[in-house]
Amino acid sequence: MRRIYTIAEWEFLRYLKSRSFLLATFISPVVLGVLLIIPSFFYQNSRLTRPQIIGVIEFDSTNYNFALAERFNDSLKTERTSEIRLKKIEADTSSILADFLSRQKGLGFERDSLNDAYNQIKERRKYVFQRPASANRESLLRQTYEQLHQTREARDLAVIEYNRVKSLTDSLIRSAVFKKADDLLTAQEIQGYIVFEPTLFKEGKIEFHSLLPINFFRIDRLKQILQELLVEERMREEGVATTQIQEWLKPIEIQELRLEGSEKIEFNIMVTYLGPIIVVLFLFIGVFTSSGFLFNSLNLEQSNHIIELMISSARSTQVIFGKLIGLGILGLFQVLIWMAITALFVFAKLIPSDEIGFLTIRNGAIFILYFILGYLFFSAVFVSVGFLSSSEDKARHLNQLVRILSVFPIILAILILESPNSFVIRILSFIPLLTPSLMILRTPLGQPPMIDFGISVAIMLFVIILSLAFAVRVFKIGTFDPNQKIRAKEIFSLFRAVNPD
Amino acid sequence: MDVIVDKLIKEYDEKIILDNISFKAARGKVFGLLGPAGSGKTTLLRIMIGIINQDGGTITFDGKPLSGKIRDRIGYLPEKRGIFQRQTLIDVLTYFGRLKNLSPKKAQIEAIRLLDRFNMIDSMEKPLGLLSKEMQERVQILVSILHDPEILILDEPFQDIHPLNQDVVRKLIYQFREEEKTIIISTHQFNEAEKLCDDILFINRGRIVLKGNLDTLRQKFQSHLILVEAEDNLGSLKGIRGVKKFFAEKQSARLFVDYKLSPQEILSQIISTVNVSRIEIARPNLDDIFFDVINNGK
Repeated sequence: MRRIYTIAEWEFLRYLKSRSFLLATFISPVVLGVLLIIPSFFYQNSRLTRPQIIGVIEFDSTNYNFALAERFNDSLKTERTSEIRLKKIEADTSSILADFLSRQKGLGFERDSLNDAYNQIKERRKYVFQRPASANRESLLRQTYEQLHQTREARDLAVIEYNRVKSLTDSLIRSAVFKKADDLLTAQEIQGYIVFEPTLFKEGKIEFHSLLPINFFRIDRLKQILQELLVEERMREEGVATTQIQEWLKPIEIQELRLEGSEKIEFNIMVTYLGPIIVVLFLFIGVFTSSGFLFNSLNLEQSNHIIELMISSARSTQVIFGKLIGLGILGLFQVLIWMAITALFVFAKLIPSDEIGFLTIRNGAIFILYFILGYLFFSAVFVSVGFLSSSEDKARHLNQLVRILSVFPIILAILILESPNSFVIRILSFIPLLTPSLMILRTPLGQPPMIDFGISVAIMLFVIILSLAFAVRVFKIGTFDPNQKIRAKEIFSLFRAVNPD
Repeated sequence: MDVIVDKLIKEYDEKIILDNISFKAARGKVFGLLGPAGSGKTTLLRIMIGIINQDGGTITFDGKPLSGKIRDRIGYLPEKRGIFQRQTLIDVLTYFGRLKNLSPKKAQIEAIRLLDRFNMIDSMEKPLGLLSKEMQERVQILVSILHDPEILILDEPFQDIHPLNQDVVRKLIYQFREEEKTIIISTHQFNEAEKLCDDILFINRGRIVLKGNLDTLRQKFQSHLILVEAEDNLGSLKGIRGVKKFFAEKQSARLFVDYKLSPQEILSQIISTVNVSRIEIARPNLDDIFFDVINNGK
C-alpha cells in the first residue's frame, strides 16, 4: 500500500503542476463555453433575433397596421419573442403616377360637380313641377328635362371615365407598391411584407411575401396576432364588448410539471436537459484528462525506460494502481475545482441558482460514481489499447476512437429526452463504453429505476476488474517485450488467465 | 547476501532464451555476467529482480525467494536508462528512495547526503532536464544506491556512459565489495569485467559456456596461449603438434595449444621450427578465454 500511495502522490503532484492539467481544467471549459456561446452570440446578432421589420401594404381602410403595431409592442413586454417592427409601404408618387392621380382627382371633381349639377337641376325641375301652373312651366320643364338629360349623360360619362382612370391608377399604385416592397425585400431593409386586401375581413386571407425561406418559419407570432385581431374585429361586429373580448382572448398560462419520483417539479429545459449534457461534457473532460495522463505517463516512461527502474522497486500492479489512484484523484480534484467555480458563479449571481437545480446531492453522488467508474474503465481500455498497439501513433488513434464512441450518447440526447427509460436506452446503458455518459444523462431526465443503477454498476465493476487485470498483463508484456506484437492467441490466453502478478 | 540461481529457464514464443542457468553470486564478491549482446544477460537480471517471471528454476537470496523486502534491498541500474526531466533532482531521488520503502524524511536525507557526496548539492532544486547528460547519468547511478542496497545489480554499467561516470561506477563497485555486499554486473566489455569481477559466468545464446572464479579460470587457460614473434614465416607453426588454433599477424602469432601437452614440449617445437625473436606464455584475457571456449565448444 505504501508504494501505491507513493506512486499515487507522485503522479498527482506531477500532473497537477503540468501545463496540460491547467489547460484541461481552466482553458478547456472556457473553450467549451466559448464554443457554446459563439453560436448563441451569432444567433443573438443574426437576422433571427435582430428586430424583424415587416412591411405592411394596406389596400383597405381598416388601419390594421396601427392595431398590429400596438399588439406587437404589448407582446414584447410580456413574452420572450423577437421584436417585430412594422413599416407601412406606400407607392412613390412618380410623375406618371402623379399625372394619373391628378387626372383621377380632376375627374373626381368633374364627376362630383356634374353630380351636384344634376341634383340641382333635378331639384329645380321638381320645384317647377310642383309649382302652380304658369306660363313658362311647360318650357321650363322641357328645358330642365333637356338639362337633366344632358347633365346625367355627362355625369355618367364622367363616372365611367373616373372609374376607368381610377382602375388604371389603382393598378398602377398596386404595381408601384409591390415594386417598392420587393425592392425593400431585395435590399434586405425588410424581412417580409404582408398585404391587407379589402376582402380581408370577409375572407380572412392575408398574403405574406418574403425572400429568405427562414422567414416563413418565423411568422407564427404574426399569424397569431392577426388571427386575434380578426377575431376581435368580428366579435366587435357581433356586438361583443371590448372588455369582454380582451378577457376572452387573454392568453392561457400553462404550468409545465414533471413527475420526478414522488414529487412534481416544474419543467425547465436548462435544468433537465442542457444541464446534464454540460455535466456529461465536463465529466468526460475530467475522465479523458486523467485517463489520458495515465496513458501518456505509461507510454512516456516506457519509451524513456523509467518504467524498468520503477518496476524494479514496485510490482507492475502497484505501478498501475498507484498511477490509477493518483490520476483518478486528480480527476476528482478537477471536478471539485469546476464545482467550486460553479458555486462561485451562483454566489455572484452569474448563474441563476434554479438553473443548476439538477445538481442535487443525490444526483451529484450518482455523477461522481459514474465518473469514477468511467475513469477506471477508460483508463484500463487506454492502457490495454496502448500496449496492444504496435506503435504509439496507432495507440493514440485507437484511443481517439474510443473517446469519440464514449461521447456518442450526447448524439442520442434527443432520444434520451424523449424517452429516458425506453427499452433501447436502457439496453445501451448497460454497454460499458456508454454506461457512464448515458446514466449521467438519464439521471436528471428520467429517474432511472433502481435496478438500472444496480445492473449498470455491477456490469461496470465486473468489466473494470477484468479490464484492469488484463491491462496490467498487457502492460507487463508490452513494456518488456515492446518489439514483440501481442497476437490474438496471446490475448485470448490473457483473458483466460487474468491473474496479475 | 548470497544469490543462488538454480536451473533457470526462460522461453519467449517457444524459443529458449535462458536454458538451465545456475550460478551463485556470493557476498563481498563481484559477479560478472558476461556474454555478447543478445545472449540473455538482461533477461536474466530482470528475472532476478522480479521484473519478469521465469518459466522454470529458482532464485534464492540467502535461501529465500524474492519478496518485497528483498527487493527493497536490491539496487538496480538498468541497461536502458532514463530519468524524469521536469522534476527536480531532490524530488526524483526522494521518490525513488520512497519506492524502496524509505520513509519520506529518510529518503530526503539520504538523497541530500548522496548529492553532497557526489558534489551535486547545488543542483538539487533544478529540474533534471536542465542538467548535463553526465549529471543525469550520475543521478541514475545514485537512484540505484540511494537506499544503501545489499545487492547491487548493474546492467551494462559502462555502456554509453560518460568516462567520469564510469569511474564513479568502478569506485562504487569497489566500495560495495569492501562493505561485503553482493555485486552483480552484466557486461559485454570483457576488459572491464576482468578488472572488477571475482567470479564470472559466460553465457552465449542463453546457455552457460563457462563459469567460475576469474583467477582459477585464468590459471586454467594460462598455458594455452603462446605468443611468438619471429623473422621467419610463422605459418609453419600451424603444423606443430598440439596447436589447436593459430592466428598470425605480420611477424607475430598467437597459438592456442592443447592444455594436456606440457608447455616445455611445445616451446621446444616452436624454437626448432622458426627463428624466434620473442616467445611468451601469456595470461589469456577474458576475450581470449571466451573466444577459445566458444570455438572449442567448452
